[in-house]
Amino acid sequence: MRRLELLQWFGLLGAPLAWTAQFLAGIAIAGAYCAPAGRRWGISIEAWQIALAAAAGTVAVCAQLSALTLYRELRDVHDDAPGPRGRLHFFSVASLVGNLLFITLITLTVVGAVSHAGCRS
Amino acid sequence: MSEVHALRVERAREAKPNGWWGMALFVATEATLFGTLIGTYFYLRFNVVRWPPPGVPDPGVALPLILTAVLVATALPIHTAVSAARDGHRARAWWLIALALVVQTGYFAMQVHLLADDIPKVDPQASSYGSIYVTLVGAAHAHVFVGLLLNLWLLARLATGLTNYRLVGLRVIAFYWYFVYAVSVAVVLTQISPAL
Repeated sequence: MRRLELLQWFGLLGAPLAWTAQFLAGIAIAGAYCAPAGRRWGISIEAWQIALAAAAGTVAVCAQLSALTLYRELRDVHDDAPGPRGRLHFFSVASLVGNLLFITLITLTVVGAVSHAGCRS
Repeated sequence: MSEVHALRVERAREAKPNGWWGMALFVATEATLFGTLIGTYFYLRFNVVRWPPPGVPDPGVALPLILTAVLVATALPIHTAVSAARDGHRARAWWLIALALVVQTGYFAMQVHLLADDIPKVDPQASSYGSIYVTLVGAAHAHVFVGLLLNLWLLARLATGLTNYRLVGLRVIAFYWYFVYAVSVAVVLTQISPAL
């Protein structure tokens, strides 16, 4: 059961936390890129944003695989079954849907960051 | 399903029902929404010299605070209703929810009146202040309205009996209201911040 619990929480929280980290780190990198001191460092904002998206995307895909594994292992559990197995099944379905949204968000975040890279002074 | 059966299920429950977890996920998404709205408010505020812009009066302080306190006070009947229902006192739970609904409806009516009065003054299409003010306050009121509808549904269902499904519904709707109280406090503090 402990393995299933781990799959559940990673499947549910992995992708949103990965996107949050990507988003906040992206803001920090953009700030460093645009700061007068940062410009002397020669930061490649595109490379950093793509690396961040790749890391976040990998975590999100792993979270989706965790949710899928959990869903397959609990196929026989009814939607309204009592916890903890009912809750595990419920969260596996919620994670499968939510992770698709977060994978899309991670993609859109990097597309926006790279295509609109530039400093406003 | 009889009330006796519903109470037996409730007492034998070892984990929170799926409906409770579903509401937890919903509340998480709504908390993100309000987090971004409040973040947007302060981002805009820190990028201008005058907030509110010239010609827009500072927001009132006393009335929004009093109204929010009244709303938060309905946590008591809501919480007591959950306890009463879990002990099998359906009629008591029904009356407590009805009491909360009356107070919450009064709060909602008053707040809608205040917002309608504010809109011509702040003009959401004229400034970023007006835009975020109306969006933030309007979103908070919309959540109260949804809570009123949920309470009405709950009253209609509880009027005909207490089942496990309805008991879970009551717990889940109480959870929603606790979230609305927290949001209302955060929103009102943001709303009145220029006048503090």
